[in-house]
Amino acid sequence: MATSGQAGGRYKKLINDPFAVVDEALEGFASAHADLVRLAAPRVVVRRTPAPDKVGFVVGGGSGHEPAFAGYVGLGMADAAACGNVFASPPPDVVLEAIRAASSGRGVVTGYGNYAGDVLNFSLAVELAAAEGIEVREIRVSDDVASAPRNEAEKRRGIAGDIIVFKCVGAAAERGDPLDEVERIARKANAATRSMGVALSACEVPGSGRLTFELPADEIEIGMGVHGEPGIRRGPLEPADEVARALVQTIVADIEGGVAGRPIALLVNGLGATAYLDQYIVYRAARRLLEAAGATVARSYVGEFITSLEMSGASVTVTVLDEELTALLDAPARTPRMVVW
Amino acid sequence: MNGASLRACVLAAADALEASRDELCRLDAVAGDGDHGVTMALAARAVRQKLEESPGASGADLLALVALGVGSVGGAIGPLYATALLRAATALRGLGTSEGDPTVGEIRACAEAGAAAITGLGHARPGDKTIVDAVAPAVQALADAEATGAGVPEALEAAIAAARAGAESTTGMIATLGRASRLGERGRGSADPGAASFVVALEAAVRTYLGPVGAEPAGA
Repeated sequence: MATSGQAGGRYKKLINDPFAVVDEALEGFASAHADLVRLAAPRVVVRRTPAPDKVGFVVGGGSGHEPAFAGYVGLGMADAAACGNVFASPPPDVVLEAIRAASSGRGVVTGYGNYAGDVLNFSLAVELAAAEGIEVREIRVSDDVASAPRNEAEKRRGIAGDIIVFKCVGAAAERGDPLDEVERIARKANAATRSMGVALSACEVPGSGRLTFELPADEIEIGMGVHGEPGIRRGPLEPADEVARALVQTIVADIEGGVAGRPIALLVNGLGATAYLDQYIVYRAARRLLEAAGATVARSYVGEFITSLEMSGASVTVTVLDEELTALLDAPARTPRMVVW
Repeated sequence: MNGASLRACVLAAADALEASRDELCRLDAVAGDGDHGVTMALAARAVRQKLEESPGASGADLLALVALGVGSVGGAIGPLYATALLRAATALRGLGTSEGDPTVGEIRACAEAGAAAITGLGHARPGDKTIVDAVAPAVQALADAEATGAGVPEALEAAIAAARAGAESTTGMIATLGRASRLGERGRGSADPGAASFVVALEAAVRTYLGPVGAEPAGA
């Protein structure tokens, strides 16, 4: 078994035991942000101070996407995060533990990306919670337009749009909305949000000894997912403006009624190994294109919100806003990764 | 099969999965996110730990422990194996034959229960390029062996052969479910990692049960 970070691997990694990466990182995360969060159980991150008497909100998914998902636990966002192995959904008992921690008697909403593993494990946890008398509603974020056509939108996977949806859901729960209302907001925010990404180079799951995919040094893949799932086309590396055009055009074409005359939130997400310099260049290009299409960029977010280990690349997320969603995005939040005041 | 040898079979499957980590990661890097070998190695570790914690467990109780161990890795494969093994354990309990060697019919009944759990939870059918493409032919081979009155060694060998052929057949398929389904045509030409790892585990477990080729079935 590989015990060194580099044994058999393609990337130099600052790790110890490849099988211990998740628990060691979570221990570090919880102690680094001890003012905001704590580890309630292995793989379950909760708020340092539980919020009383509100709809609980649990987020979760595989690890390797840091700062997702534990980075969104805190005031105004999630009450708990369930963390799985690298790129693998947490098992039902971990999700159940997070649901219990988030429950204050008014029901719980779980939010996660729409992947087969997450759906299976979260659904089992929801049944287990129901048996304990906790009512749980689920929102499967499905913002990635590259992952399925619009007429099969329920098959789409969740990528950086998670963050916009989680922010809206968390704010609705924090202000005291009842369960039905928080669920409505969740579905509305998900329906209003679309994303698409581009990968420049692969990442390596610790212990796997290989890259998640092979991409020639001078090629990029448009539409690739946050676990290295293949995208919709491969081609030569192009300038940021051209890549942003491919992403924005596909996103805008997918929005019913387009973006003309509408306020939007624009989020550019770095996948882990793409410089902030590059991210802002992509943001600039995306913003110009969206404004040229008639949109008003009302809210902007740039940075690493949901990464893919050391994958290089970025994604663009567009959420069509109204007053309700804008107010929820602007509501206060204080989490390790998201601070709004 | 008594508890000791079921335990030995499970441990052999765990060893084999760990030894196949690289190959399974390679398959998964083509079809999915490259972690299947790591996931199954983590499952093997978790199962080994569960068995060490309960040295006296046997039969259906042991299968249930294996289910908890594999389930703890999460992902899609965790709950699929966990549910399948729990259903198989329930079937085994229902047979009331934890003592002595099982018949082909009893093995088939447990395997059928497990397979039904996988298709019920994952909604995959044969041809979807999933673990079902290895599991379903194996169960069918057991049923065929039962119908022809074959002995346990023959039936289990047939199950391995059918599972392997099934897993190999996924090479020519296009995935329609799970993360691999995003691949479309590009997934053709590579076997499904979940089907491949099932064959690895099954073969190791059966070989341990049957003992060296030509020998009598292993006892305790």
